[in-house]
Amino acid sequence: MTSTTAPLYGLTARFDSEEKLVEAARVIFAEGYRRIDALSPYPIEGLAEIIGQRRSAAPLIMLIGGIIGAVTGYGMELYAMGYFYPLNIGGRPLNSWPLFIPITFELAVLFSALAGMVALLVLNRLPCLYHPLFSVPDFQRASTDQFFLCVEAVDPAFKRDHVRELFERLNATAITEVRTG
Amino acid sequence: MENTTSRLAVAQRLGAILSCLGFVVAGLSLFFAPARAYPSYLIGFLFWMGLTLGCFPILMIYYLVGGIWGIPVRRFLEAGIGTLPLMGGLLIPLLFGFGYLYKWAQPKVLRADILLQHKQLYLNLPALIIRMIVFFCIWGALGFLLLRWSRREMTTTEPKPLIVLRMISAPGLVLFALVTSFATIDWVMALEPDWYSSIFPLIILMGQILSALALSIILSTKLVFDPQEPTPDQLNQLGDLLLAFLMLWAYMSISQIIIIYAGNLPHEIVWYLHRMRGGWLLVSWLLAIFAFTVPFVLLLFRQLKRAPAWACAMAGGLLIMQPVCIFWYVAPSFRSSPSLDWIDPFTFFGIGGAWVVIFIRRLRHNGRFVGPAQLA
Repeated sequence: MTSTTAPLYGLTARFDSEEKLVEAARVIFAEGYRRIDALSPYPIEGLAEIIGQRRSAAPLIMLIGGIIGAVTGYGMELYAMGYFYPLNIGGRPLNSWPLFIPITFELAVLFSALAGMVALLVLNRLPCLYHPLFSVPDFQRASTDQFFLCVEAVDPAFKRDHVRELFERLNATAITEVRTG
Repeated sequence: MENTTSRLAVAQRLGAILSCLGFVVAGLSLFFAPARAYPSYLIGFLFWMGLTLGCFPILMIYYLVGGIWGIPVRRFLEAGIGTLPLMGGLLIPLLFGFGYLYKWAQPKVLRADILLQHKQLYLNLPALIIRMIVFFCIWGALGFLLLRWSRREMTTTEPKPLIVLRMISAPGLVLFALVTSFATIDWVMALEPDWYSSIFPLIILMGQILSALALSIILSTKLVFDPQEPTPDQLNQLGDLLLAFLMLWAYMSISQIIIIYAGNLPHEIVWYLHRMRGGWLLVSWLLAIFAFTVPFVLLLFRQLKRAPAWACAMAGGLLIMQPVCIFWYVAPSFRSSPSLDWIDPFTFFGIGGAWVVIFIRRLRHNGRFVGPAQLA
């Protein structure tokens, strides 16, 4: 499954407790590594901040989607009712804004939600049918009772032996070199 | 703590001075120029009464759903409920001025208006007085139970008081919403007796909740009774709640406009016509911008909600807009253009001063029961 000639993806360590993982993440980050990923069976409060999680672009994308939706909704109604097929309904002005609000609001929500879904997939690089980490022994236990920390080889500061040494010092249960492909 | 105590004392003295001055002027003007003074008095009364009433639902929601957000504001909400007897007393002068406020209480108008004559079964003075007594009894009983069991909850570690508080709050919320709706119909909707909107009492209720929540957020960042200030997480949740109620308020307000605009019925549109004439249209737009749009956009930002100074400023802005809102609900029925009568500030700050004095008294009294008042 894993060929030893394929380029290195990174180094993972398996830990048997939440505390060890958090401590390891803190040390590895302090040593200057930035391309880190932590995997745990349940969300651990504060862990994302420890490994330097950046703010997500999703809210901005959703806001832009919402604004496009609102403009589309209002524009569509104004174009249809005001210019393309003007209708006099009970003497109301052609731009009857109070009655245009529901559709404007609905389309804002719809576009925003769609933009959010697309952003979710794109920013998380999904769908992803295979990931190098899948070849780590016992990796499925990341969803039951084990905690993993991975330092990726693309990190400019990455030095394999130094990371291995750190992992050993941090009481990792198992250390694996992960190769791409 | 000491700083807080001295600041409270200063506020209390200021409130006492304002209320003395306000009540003297308001009393004289109610007597000598009732037609002008009663609308002013009603506006002031409605705002401060709203602050009192708004405390009930927030507290009851807190007991029902729990969460960390309630801890920093709880004591202020309880002190707010404690001002209910004062507001009950301040309602009495209004009862003498109904003829100046409500068309249904003016015999001359009544004789000419067949529709109003049919509404007399509900809109008549004896029935109204009975209703007011019943409403205040229900609010009072609810407030009494909430404060009493809350005090027990703070002095014991047993789970029983919390269970009782939940058992009061669940039916209490339903009852409170109903009673407050009916009171709002009598106080505000009856100003234009031909007009009715079934969502209007809820709009007013949302405004009351907004003002009470905003006030308690401001106070929680300014007056610290507990050893710690509200945490960013608590402020974040309070800001979210403020945003939720703000959106609900706007949603209901816009629903009312859409329905009335679509229906286009004379007895319904009159309410908006009165609020579009003269300069009132400008006030309507100012409300749309500063009572909704600006705070809405600001409250979307997580960092602002988590910063005490910003949370305080946003809550302050919302709180300042609430009297304007009430002014817009009430005054256009009496004044054809948006103008402040010189009596307005006296009634507003007169009632407000008294409210502040009682509020601080209750706050100091309840302050003795500081304990690990946490809900899981």
